[in-house]
Order: sequence, then C-alpha cells, then structure tokens
Amino acid sequence: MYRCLEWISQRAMFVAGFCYLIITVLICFDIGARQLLGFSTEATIELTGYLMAVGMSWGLAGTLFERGHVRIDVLVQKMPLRVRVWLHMLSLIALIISTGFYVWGSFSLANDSFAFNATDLTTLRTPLVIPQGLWAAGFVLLLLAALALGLRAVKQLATGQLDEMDRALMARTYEDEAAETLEAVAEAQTAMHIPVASAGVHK
Amino acid sequence: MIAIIFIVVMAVVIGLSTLFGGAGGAAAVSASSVPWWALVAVLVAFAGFFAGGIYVGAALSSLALLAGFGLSDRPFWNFIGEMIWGPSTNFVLVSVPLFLLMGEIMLRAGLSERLYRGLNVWMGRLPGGLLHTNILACGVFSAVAGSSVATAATMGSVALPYFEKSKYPPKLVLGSLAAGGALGNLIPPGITFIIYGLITETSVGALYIAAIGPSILVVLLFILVILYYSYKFKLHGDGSEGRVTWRHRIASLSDLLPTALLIGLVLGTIYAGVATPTESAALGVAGSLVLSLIDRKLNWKMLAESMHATARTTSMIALILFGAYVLNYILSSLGVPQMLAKFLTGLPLPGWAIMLVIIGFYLALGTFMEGMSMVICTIPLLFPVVKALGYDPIWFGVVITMLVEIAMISPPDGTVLYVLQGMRRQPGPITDVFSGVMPFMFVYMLAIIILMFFPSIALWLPAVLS
Repeated sequence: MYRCLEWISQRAMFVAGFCYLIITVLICFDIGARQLLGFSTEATIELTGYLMAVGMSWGLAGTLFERGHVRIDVLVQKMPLRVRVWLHMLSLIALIISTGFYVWGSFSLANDSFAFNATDLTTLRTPLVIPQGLWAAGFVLLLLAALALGLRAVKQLATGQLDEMDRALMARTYEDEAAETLEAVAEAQTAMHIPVASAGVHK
Repeated sequence: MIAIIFIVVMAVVIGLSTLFGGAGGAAAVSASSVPWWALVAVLVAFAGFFAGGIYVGAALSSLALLAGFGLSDRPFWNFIGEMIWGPSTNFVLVSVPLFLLMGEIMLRAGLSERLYRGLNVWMGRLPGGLLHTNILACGVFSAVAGSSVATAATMGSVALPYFEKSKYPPKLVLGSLAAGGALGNLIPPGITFIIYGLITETSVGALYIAAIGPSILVVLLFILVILYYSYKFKLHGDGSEGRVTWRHRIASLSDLLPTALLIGLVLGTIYAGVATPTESAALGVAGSLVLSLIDRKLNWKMLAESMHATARTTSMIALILFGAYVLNYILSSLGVPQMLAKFLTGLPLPGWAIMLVIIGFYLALGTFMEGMSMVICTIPLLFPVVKALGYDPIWFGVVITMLVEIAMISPPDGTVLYVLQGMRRQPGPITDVFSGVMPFMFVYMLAIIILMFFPSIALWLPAVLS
C-alpha cells in the first residue's frame, strides 16, 4: 500500500513536471503567434492556469515522500529522538487535518461547477469541472500519502523502530539540497570532459 | 541567539511605547470585535506550531481552522475551495515553476563552469581578482538561477578548486562566495519578487525594474569591500598567471555568450515591455533548452531531473501558499491585519522607527526560517501596516527581498554558510566562513539603510519608465 502510493506519487510528480513543460510550449506559441502572425490564442492564460493548478496539487504527495515540505526544524533537531518522533507524528496529524479540508473544499468547488455546468468565459468554454476535478485529485493523493506515512509511523512507533521513522519524516535539509545541486553540476562537468580537480588556473 | 535578542528588544520597545501614551493603539485593539486574549492565544499557537516543526503549510491552515472555528461565526469552510483555487490558477504565479525550470536546466547544462572561467579571464588582473570573479559570477548566475542556495552551491563547486593553490585567505574566499550567493534573489528575475507581487498585488515587472538600482548598489559595495581587503592583504592581481592576452579575452567571450544571451532574452523582454514576467520566463525555459541542445547536453534524463526538481519546489511553495491564503482569508474577515496596522501606526513612534522594528523582525526571523515561507507567512499581516505608514509597496518589496538574502548569510544560522562549509576541501572551522561573510553582511545592511534614506535608488527607474 505504502509502496504503491509512493509509486503513484512519483508518477504524479512527473506529470506535474510535464505540465510546466507544456505551459512553456503554450506560452511560447502564444508569443510567437502574437509577434509574428498577429493573432493571439486567447485561451493561453486560461489553459496555463489549469495546468499550473494541476501541477501544483499533483506534486504535493511526491514532495511529501521526498521530505520536501518546509518545516522549521531548528528546535526539532535539538530534541532527543523520543521527543522528535512525537513531533513528527504531530506534524503529520496537522497535515492530514488541513489536507482533509482542502480535499473537501476542492471537491465541493468542482461539484458546484458540475452542478451549475459552469464554463470558462473565453473561447474554449472549458467545463470548469474538468480542471477542478483533476486539481482536487492531487489533494486526495496528498491525503492518502499522509495517511500512509502516518500508518507506517504508528507501526514503527509501536515496534520501536524510532530511527527509521525519524529518517522517513525528517525535513529535507540544506545539506540535501546542496548535495543534489553538486551532483547535477558534477554530472554536467563529466559530460563536458572537464576533470573537476584540474580546473584550476595555475596551468 | 540573534533572533531571541531581537524579539525581546522588539517586545520591550512596543510594550514601553504602548505604556507611555499609546492610547491610540490600545483603543484600536479594544475597539475591534475580537477579544485580545484570543489573538494572543492564536499567536502562542503560531509560535508553538512553528517551534514544534509542523509543516509550515499545515501549521498555517491549522491555525486558520482554529481561528475560524474559535473566533468567527461565518461558514468559512464553504469558501476553502475558492480560496485555494484562486492562487492555483494565477497567471503571475506560473512564472515561478518556469523560472525554476530554467535554472534547473542551466545548472545541468554545465553553464556555471564556463561562466566562471570566462569571467575570470576578465577580472584576473584587478586587485583581488578571483574574489571579484566570485561576486560577479554569482551575480550573473543568480540572474538565471533564482535560488541563493543553488547559486552558492554551484559557484562554490566551480570556484573552490581555483583557490586551492592560491594565496587568497580562505576567509575572504568563502565570504565572497557566500555574499555572491546572497545576490540570488535580489538580482532579477528572483522568485521572492513574484511571490511578493502575487500576495500584495504589486506589478512584478515594476519590482524587477526597481531591483536594478539596489542590485548595482550591493554589488558595488561588495567590490569595495574586496578592494579594501586586497590592499590590506596586498593581493595585487595574480602574478603567477602571466599576462592575459587580448586574444585570450576574446576567446573567453564564447564562454560568456550563452549566459549573456539567456539573460538578454529574459530581462530584455521584460524591460522592453514586450512580454510579461511569466511570458519571459517561458522564453527563458525555451532558450535554456535550445542552449543545452547546441551544447549537446540535452537528453531525456537531464530534462526529467529538471522537471522533477521543479515540481518538488513548486509544490513545496504551493502548500505554504494554500495555508497562507486560507489563514489570510480568515484573519482578514476578523479584521486582524487592519487592527495590527492601526495598533502599530497608533504607537507614539515615528514611521521610520516602526520600519526599523519590522526590519529587525525580519532579520531575527530569517535566522531560523526559510526565506520563501517567511515572506508568505508575514507579508499578508505586515503589508497593510507598511502601507498605512506611507511606504511605497514596491520599495518595501525590494527591502524585504534584501532582508531575506541577509538572513541567508547571517551567522550562526544562515543556510548558505553551511552549504559552503560543507564544500570546503581544506578543512577548517565554520568560524572562518562566519568571520569571512561578516563584512559583506554589514555592507548589505548598510545598503538597506541607504535605501531608507534614498528610496529613489529603487523607485526612480520605475517612475521614469512608467
């Protein structure tokens, strides 16, 4: 169950990333059309908005699994492990409650759009229920992901695997971010055939 | 530590001024419909949630739920959908993932190394040569990267090998890299400006234009610091390299060209008024894709990794934004921001003193809070205060961005400092980084003070261009 959700969240995040790429193409096409061909596809702003909404909500669960959501952990880091695991639990509960409200809010919005057959005002006349429904699905995924993490955390608490739980929930630190950046830079450098160590000016 | 001292000092200042003739402030509080103890309770919960390490986004929305159910009798839950659908589809916000994507692609295209090499050919002869390269390369790179930690990490990885066999004092090297990293969000196009523009409904384009003057000011101050230390430590150029010929310099331009083209494309279209910030961000992504295609760096793996990192950062910001919008809706319906504005402007303190308190508050907060979440959490509450004090929203946006950047390089908690410390090859204590960055941090603060006395440094250009 946990593995399955993690897998789905990964894929959803990939879709989210793809949304941003499609946005790029749409906007660039719009600029090209406006500048060169003299017409504007009036639907671009509307479509990019929907893609943005879907991208934002579909990436939420994957970010949770990758410990990417911001927490202020200055004090948490200094706590002993026994206290820390309970703080992790507390923050998961807060997340589950908030996400529950988001799921409810987003679904009732999509439902209203469906009930009133609401469409956008532009040329496309998109039925709003489509983007809003997809958007709401992202929150459902986040809720399921948070619940799965919570269940696993409870299991780990009960069996005394405090270290594992800590590792799964600890906020991503600047060290992680720096490490990832460095990895990307190193990959770029090896691809360029420039050995990192000999890059000095003192030749 | 700094944080605690600031908060205590601030509490004492506000407390004393309320005691001595702060009748206006007290009246403002008592006149509102919300009992003051409830607000204090919300504030305590706020501090408790944050100290307990609750996800910032979840903390904001949990607070909103507490305040909403406890203090408001409106059925606010019926509007949660609309509250978060609005920012989700905002066209201005679209530029955030696009700028992130552009930075990720450039990072993976190996642009940073070439940029540093190219700039170094030009700067090497100046006193303190490589140190200027640090600042300028960071400044230029930040114009495409948009994140301070990424800028510092990238530039650090490229620059530190250059310094291994040199006579430069490590403190200055690390300090200048950290300082350069702290330009990441100030030099357009930074993401902090977009978020600020979104929350306060200020024009992002105008913010970018306003940031030009202060960016130049900060870079100049940094260069002055380096020149001062170069004369003090007698770092007159790099004699060991020999003369750099002009042919060499012209050849180095090919290393600078891709970055220059990209910056020209993104900022040029914004400043010329041809494209909105969102559109120019899309052009930037397209440009970075084309550049990496020419360099034969574009492949599926690199693109997938870039999209993945973009999706993660965007969703991270999204969760905080959603929480902030819900909380802001409820606090606004309770009249809290207006109350706070009335209270602070009613204090028997001049406007600049309150501005100083706000600046101190941000410096304190920034020592333990991530920059973006700091802006999203505080701006909705403080913006009405700043407007009521008669400060220009665009000016304040620039100051806020500078404060966030200072926070990232302020010892002992600044994140950029630890990133650099982690990348050092020659071992040394973290205090090297601390003392190295201090002079730069002080001139950064000096720049804010200069900006308080001469707001036209930021506001002149937007006024002329509009």
